[in-house]
Amino acid sequence: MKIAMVNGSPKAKDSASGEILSMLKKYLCGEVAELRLNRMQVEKQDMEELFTCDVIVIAFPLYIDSVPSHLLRCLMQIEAYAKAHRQERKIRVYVAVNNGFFQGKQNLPAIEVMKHWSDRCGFTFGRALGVGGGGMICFLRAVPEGHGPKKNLSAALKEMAEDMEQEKLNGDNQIKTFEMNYPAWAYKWQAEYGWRRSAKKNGLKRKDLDKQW
Amino acid sequence: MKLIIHDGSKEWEDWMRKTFLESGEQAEIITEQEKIRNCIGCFGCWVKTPGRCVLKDDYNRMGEKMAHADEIIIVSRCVYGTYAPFVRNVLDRSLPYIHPYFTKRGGEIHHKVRYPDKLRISVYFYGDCTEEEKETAVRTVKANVLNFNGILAHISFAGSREEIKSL
Repeated sequence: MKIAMVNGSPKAKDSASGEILSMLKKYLCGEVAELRLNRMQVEKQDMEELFTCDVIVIAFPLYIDSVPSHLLRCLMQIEAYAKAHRQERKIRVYVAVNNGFFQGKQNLPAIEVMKHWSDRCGFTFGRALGVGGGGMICFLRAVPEGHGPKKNLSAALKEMAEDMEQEKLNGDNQIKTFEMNYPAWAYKWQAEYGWRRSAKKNGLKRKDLDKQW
Repeated sequence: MKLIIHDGSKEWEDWMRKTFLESGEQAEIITEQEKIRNCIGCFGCWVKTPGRCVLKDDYNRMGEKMAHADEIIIVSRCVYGTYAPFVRNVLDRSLPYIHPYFTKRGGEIHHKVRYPDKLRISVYFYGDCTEEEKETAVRTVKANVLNFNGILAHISFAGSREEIKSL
């Protein structure tokens, strides 16, 4: 079984989506192809590679309640390619969406978009995760898998990896949304402290964050 | 003032004016002309030039354009239960409209408002879409309304752009 791990974040480095895929990879045994869809166009070799895979897992950040626009353009190109190159083999799709809010369920509209895309491509939708608290994921690299704030995320990714390898479909339980194991108040406090610190590094004062035009 | 965002060509603008504006009414119409850059998640619009996108193109002032409007009208093909890529791109670039800090709304964490006025949001989807995609599109629009701290004024689905007028 060959798995395409697709990072749909536009960030060149330090993306929560990339970190989620790195965590998932630890639970996978099969051949893995790692792809980036961070531009508006799918490169020809990436498109061909995708269609040699049995499983496509796409991780991306929630942008304004949906799929980031560059990724949406790529999904439409993949749909066009899938329709032009009918495959006998059913590709299975898995999705991991993260948001900067705290509640994982705020990813649901984006997950549904991915399911509709998968249906239109003629793929089989396997499982989707909606992760809240995406802003803290990259800061947890040193935390062992399955421990502390990573407990829920590690368990969900392990389950997803097992599904992929056992070719299991989940019927009504395809979508799982959850939070990081961390208090909401502390997440809010740290995020806001982080914005103030970044603004200060850019020579701004705290009240400049409130600027109106 | 109305702000109209749509996924059609320059030729659609006359149709937009006739369909959505009263005679002499002021509006800004966002049409894809110059190549739009995609949001890169840098958060410069929050911590470098708060309220304004740092990417250099014709779409870096979406936050303030929304702030100066009292209603946003979106006309877009429905794609997988969301907007067409150009409209999504414009909305992604509207992140500076909101504030980086968090607040609670309806028991959930959302971003604080940068501008206090409530924005009326009307969405006219068109094109071929399934019932499930329509349901997702409604959920997406309602989430946008909540996150932009707006008021949902209208949402509808038409088979084609021409049919919008008859709704």
